[in-house]
Amino acid sequence: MIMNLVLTMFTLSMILIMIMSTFSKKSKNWREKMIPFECGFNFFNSAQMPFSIRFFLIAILFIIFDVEIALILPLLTTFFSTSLKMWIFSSFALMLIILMGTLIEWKENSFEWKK
Amino acid sequence: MFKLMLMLSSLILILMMLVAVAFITLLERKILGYMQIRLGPNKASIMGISQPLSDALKLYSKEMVKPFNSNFTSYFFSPSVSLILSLMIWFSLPIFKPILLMKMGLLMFFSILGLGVYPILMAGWSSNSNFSLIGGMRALAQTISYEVSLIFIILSNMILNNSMNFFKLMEVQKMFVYIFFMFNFLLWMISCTAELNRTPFDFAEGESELVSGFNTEYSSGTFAMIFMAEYMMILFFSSFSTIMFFGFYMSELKYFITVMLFIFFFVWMRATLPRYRYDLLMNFSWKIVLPSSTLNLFFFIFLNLTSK
Repeated sequence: MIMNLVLTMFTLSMILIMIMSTFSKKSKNWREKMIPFECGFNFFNSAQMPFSIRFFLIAILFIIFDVEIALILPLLTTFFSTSLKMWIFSSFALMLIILMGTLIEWKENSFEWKK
Repeated sequence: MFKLMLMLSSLILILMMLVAVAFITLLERKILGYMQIRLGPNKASIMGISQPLSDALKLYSKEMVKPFNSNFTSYFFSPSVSLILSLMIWFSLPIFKPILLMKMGLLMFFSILGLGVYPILMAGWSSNSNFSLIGGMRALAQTISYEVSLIFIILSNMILNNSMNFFKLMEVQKMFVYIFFMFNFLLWMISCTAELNRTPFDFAEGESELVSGFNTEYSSGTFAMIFMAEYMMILFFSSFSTIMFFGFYMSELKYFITVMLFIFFFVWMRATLPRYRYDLLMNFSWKIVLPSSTLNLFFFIFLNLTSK
């Protein structure tokens, strides 16, 4: 059933694309129209250039926290199937690790946008 | 036959979602208009009712520009990917309940929310313009850094019913509504706005700095698709917060009223609040929202011990 619904989504957006490519027939292209918008200038070089390293570091931080989220997720379903002591121990240990990790990252100035 | 009817009804539901998205844009323009003491769109048919439809028709009949040097495949298909994702995220909610009730709806929600940054990055990178690239980068960094705290907040609500099923969340809230955890709700609204790239945090398309952000180069139907995907996400997050903090069912009238109130709140924030600063936004995410949501999750885990 879910597969059918997902396929419905795909067909819906394909239909939208097809409607678009049939209706927007007008095309008069010249050079000025094709160049990327840059406030009246012609562009010098390609815009796909190196970017600031801060964005990359933020992504690395996100991966660490995402792995921790993946470790938290089983806590939701295993509450009634394990012993209470085990659940308390594991959940509190995980949360303490996450909190300590956050504080260590903070101490090392990983969260600062500019040095 | 019965299955066919269910399929047809869900298809109609999806189409109605698209129509609702069109009218949300009209609602936003009207509210923005009245908040700036002007009328907003009121000419097309009666009181501007058919304005969004004619807007869509106009956008679809306009010329499609293929920018020079752009990677055309990813430029052309990333809006439709974005639209597909924002339509698919509805399956995680118990809306299609007779035919589809996800036991692990939370995982579906997380995975599609995580996928949502790819079309933005693809659109920003492949249209080969400086504004698009910077807007895409900003949207990416902002979305992923608020996603962590967003997931912590959702987990702290879901941990009280000990399952990943959103229907169970609504069942639990018959007795106690989670809106009473006001701090959690405040954190949710902040990270929700940042996740949607709405106005206090709309660095993905800051008009005064970047022209329109990652969709600068998009023109006709592709732009309409990006627009639809964004407003679909607003609609989704409004209904999701209604389910998560109020626990109303889809068949009730108060559910729709609450959804409308949430949408009105997002538009209201756009009309009143000025734009934040980008480095302050990042500091706010990692230094205030993330530690407080982690402590909040700690509190909720402690609270959950009473349920055994």
